[in-house]
Amino acid sequence: MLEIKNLHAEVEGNKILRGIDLTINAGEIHAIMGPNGSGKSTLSYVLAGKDDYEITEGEILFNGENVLEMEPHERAAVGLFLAMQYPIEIPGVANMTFLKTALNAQRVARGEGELKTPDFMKKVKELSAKLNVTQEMLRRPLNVGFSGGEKKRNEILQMALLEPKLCILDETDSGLDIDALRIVSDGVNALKSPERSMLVITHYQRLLNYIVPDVVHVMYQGKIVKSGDKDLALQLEEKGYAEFTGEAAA
Amino acid sequence: MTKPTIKTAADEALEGLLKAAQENLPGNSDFSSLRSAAVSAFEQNGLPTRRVEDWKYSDLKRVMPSDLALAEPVDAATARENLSGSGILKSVDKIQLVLVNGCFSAELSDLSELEDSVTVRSVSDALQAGDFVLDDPEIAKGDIALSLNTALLQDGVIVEIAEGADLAKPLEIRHVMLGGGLATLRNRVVIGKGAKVGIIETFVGDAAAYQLNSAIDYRIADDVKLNVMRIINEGDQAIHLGSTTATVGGNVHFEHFTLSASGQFVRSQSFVAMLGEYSDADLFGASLVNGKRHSDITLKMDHAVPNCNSKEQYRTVLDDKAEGVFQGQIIVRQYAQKTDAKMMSQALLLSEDASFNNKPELEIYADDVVCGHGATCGDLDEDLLFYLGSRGIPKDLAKKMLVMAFLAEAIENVSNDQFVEALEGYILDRLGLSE
Amino acid sequence: MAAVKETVDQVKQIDVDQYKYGFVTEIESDKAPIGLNEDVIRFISAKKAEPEWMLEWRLDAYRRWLTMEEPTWAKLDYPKPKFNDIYYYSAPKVAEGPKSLDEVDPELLRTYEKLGIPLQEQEILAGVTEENRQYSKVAVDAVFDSVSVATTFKEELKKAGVIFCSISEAIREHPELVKKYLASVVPVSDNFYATLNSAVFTDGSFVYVPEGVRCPMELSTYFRINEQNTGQFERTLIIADKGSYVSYLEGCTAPQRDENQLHAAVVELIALEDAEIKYSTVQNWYPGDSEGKGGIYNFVTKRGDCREKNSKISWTQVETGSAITWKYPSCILRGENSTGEFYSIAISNGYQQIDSGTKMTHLGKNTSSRIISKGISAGRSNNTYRGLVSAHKKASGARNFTQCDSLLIGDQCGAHTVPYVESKNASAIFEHEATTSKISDDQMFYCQARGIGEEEAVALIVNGFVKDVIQQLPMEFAVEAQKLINISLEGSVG
Repeated sequence: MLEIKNLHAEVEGNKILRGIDLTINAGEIHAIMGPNGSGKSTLSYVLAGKDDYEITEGEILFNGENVLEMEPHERAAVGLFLAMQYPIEIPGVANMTFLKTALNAQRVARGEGELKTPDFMKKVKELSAKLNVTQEMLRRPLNVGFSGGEKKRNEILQMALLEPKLCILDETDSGLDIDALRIVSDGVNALKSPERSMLVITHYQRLLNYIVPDVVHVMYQGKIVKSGDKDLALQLEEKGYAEFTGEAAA
Repeated sequence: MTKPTIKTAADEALEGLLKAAQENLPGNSDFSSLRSAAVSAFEQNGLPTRRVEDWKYSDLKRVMPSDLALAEPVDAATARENLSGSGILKSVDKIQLVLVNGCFSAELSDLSELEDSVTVRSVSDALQAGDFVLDDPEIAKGDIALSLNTALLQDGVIVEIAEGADLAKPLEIRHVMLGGGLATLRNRVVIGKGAKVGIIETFVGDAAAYQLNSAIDYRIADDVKLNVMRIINEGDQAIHLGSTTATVGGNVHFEHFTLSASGQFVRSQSFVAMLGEYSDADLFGASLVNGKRHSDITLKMDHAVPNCNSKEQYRTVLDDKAEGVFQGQIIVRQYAQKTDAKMMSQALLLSEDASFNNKPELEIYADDVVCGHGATCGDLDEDLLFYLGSRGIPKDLAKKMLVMAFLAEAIENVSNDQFVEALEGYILDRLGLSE
Repeated sequence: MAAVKETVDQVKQIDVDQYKYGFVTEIESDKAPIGLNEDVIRFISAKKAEPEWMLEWRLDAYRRWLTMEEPTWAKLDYPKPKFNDIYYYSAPKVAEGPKSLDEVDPELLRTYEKLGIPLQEQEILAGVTEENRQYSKVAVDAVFDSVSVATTFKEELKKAGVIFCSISEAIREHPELVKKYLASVVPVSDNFYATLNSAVFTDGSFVYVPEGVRCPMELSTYFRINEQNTGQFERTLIIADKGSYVSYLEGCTAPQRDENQLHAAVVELIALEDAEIKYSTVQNWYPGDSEGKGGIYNFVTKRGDCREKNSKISWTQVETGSAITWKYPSCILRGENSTGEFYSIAISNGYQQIDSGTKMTHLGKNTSSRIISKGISAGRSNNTYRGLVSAHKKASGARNFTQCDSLLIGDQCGAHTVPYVESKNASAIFEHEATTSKISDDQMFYCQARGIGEEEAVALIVNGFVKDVIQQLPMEFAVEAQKLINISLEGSVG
């Protein structure tokens, strides 16, 4: 589904990604772990198409298509979804309006036609109930005045509604207490399917107790330095990143 | 000290018109002397140059044409043809009072629908009878647009609303300009104690080059609730000089919203004097300026007594080669303790050739106050565009959504939901976002 | 830190009852005839032993000045200075210009001592620990009425290649630099007062920091108006060549006099590629008495030019003195990625009137500016912030942040904010915020409930209010400035 080959990226002349190779097949859950500043979030933004980054080498193929030539909204339409670490607040745009506009824009781009308002409402209601997203949160401007947990739940709601093929979760666990973490993870797990892949980016092993990965990668200084099964995450939890950074565990 | 004014062709033309018109304008001898004073003031100073602080960003000398003529009267039938259909607040049920080319038309107005608590008469009648007295609030004194208005005043409508009235429908004062030329009018709305009133001021016109100098004076007694919607939707070649003066009594809630939607050169200025305690004034506005249009919102808020609140919030979207201006001034006089006044002016520039001049001012002489202002300008936030894009929304649509959101924040302050809906509908339409 | 303690002690010694610097020094002086005409300008130029081109330059400025009118747009109300009742040149009498500090009139040195200015080198070093010494040295150029009387640390600066001398000396010794840069930021006919200054300026400081040099110490000028009916017109020119850095401090005082005295200075800063200039002012001219009589008219044109890319100019000012202040230290952000900053504390008490602020003119790409202004009004004073932030067509990516806060103490004073924000570039992002308030009763009550007296509580809260700006000052100045602020507000409560 996703193939990243020798990907190099920099921002304002600082090299951040220095040759990433990663293949994710349909239905697989991959986790990327690594210390702060290793380039994890950059990778997620580059995948989603934020234009602050300059791609100096390499390619990203998504179901065989070259993603690097697509605008962010085109990537979304082909099924790439990034749940952001810090979801943006947009005053004046009601959450509901936003969801509807996004879903219909993607459907139109895929030639599926717009969803009728009643069908849309029904769908949102079902999904929001599961994720504990209140009616009030749907009426309010997008993410404005939402707590950290509410923002993350809202991200997962978007993911559930937009039904992407690849879900990238960037530090989705940050700032969540244990109850919020469970709601979010249940939401993510409900989306697991043989056709859908996930890339979970996290600093801590904690999230991976809830969303169990097939493959765990360790990223350091812009490269994947080690890959393994889910036990690798447990080892990291125990020993820290010292093995890679050359420093003693803190 | 005063240097002689260098007169331009526009100054000469207006001066000629002023002198020629005097004979035929209505009014008794008291009013005539006011007119002559205004005419001599103009002879001395001419149209304001950019050195005149209040007109620093709006160059009247440059935009006023050198071929000036008074707008011709238009008969009711012709006017009616041009009235039908249009209107940003068309969905709102209202009672219309119509002025065509500066003159009040009883025939075109819904006089029969007026409630008993409302009386309406024309300014020209009042002028002839000698009972139209001009006493602008202190902060409006010396204003050039108002002075020109006095010099050339033709007509207007006087609306008196009785004490305690609670109007079921808003009153619309509709200003129509047809066939070009210069028109000058002044309206007065006198609202009795405890009345609840909604007023819509609408400005529309055809594609001819015209100049409208319009003023409206609100006299608001104690305990009044007043909502004003001011919709400037002038023709493409229009020069609109619109002044609002308001004197606000005690325990009043005054809400005033201005939409600057079209017109070649629009200056909408308000002078509000808070004269009674425990009153609130909420002044909001949205301006959409495109093409080579110029839109100027100027505002002076005078807190002369203690314990009042005022909020001023204006948003401007500029595209193409448009120029936007916001000048806001809050004055808090020495005895106006416990004043809470906040002013915010924000602009969004969508094109490289658009420009915005922002001047929010505070002038404060009382210490126990909470006052503040803010001003921002910039283009659309790239992070917001990316977020919308990452959810599958194409850039063009995302931009429009953000523009809508930006203006919606100004509009949502309007307390009447019908108005909010109509305004949002208009903007969605204009942005091409309506379903 | 010992240096701080020393400064505190110095400030403490100053009698705090009234204006602390209100004494007159009895020194014989050498004056130009009263009034202004071409002969007076020739007199000044001759006294300074100036080359012919300088005299011509002055005369040209004078002729232009005759055609100009005083600006009236500021929110200031004062009787116009009578330009023909002023002495345009007054110098302490000495046989010849002093060659070293030993030759300076001891009476003058005592004046500076009273002012708390550590003029002599050993005094500057007092209280500074051995290891900090080289960082805490302050080279001082002292200007007394119309002439520079002493410049310290010259030798040491010379080693680093830094030129720091009086402007008169620079005109004689470094004409090529003066010719190249003088009036290149503030043109001769920029405004009424700048033009007057161009015609009659008598002294001031000149600094040139060569390429790549980080000036080894803070440079400083102290200005004092001593003589009666004397105007002070100093001219300062600072050039930071590529990759250099200099921090410059300026302090001002004047004796107490009944009549108003005029001060019209021009300061020009030029920062070339990657250079940085930090300019700090503590202005404490005589503000007039409690009835509003007397005091200095302070009409100052200060402007910095970030001429080349990545340059930076930062203005910090603490304005507590003068009857009338008309002053807008500005930055022209010409070079790409250049930065301008303006940090200001303006305190008005009694009948003082301040109209001050800044202009940030964004011309180059990705230029940024920051304005933090804190105004405090007390007594019957009026205090106006007036600022202009503009982005020209080519200033893509320009950024400005402005925060302007006013504090009112008492109900007889005024605090005003007049910002102009002009954008001709869509990608320029400007943010402006302003607040006006008084010290809240809750804050006062809280302080008092903890045993803090009223005056002290006001001082405490005011210090908190101005903290962001004080932090921008060099350490030695910060303590002095803080004390000065407290003194300026004495008697403003109750």
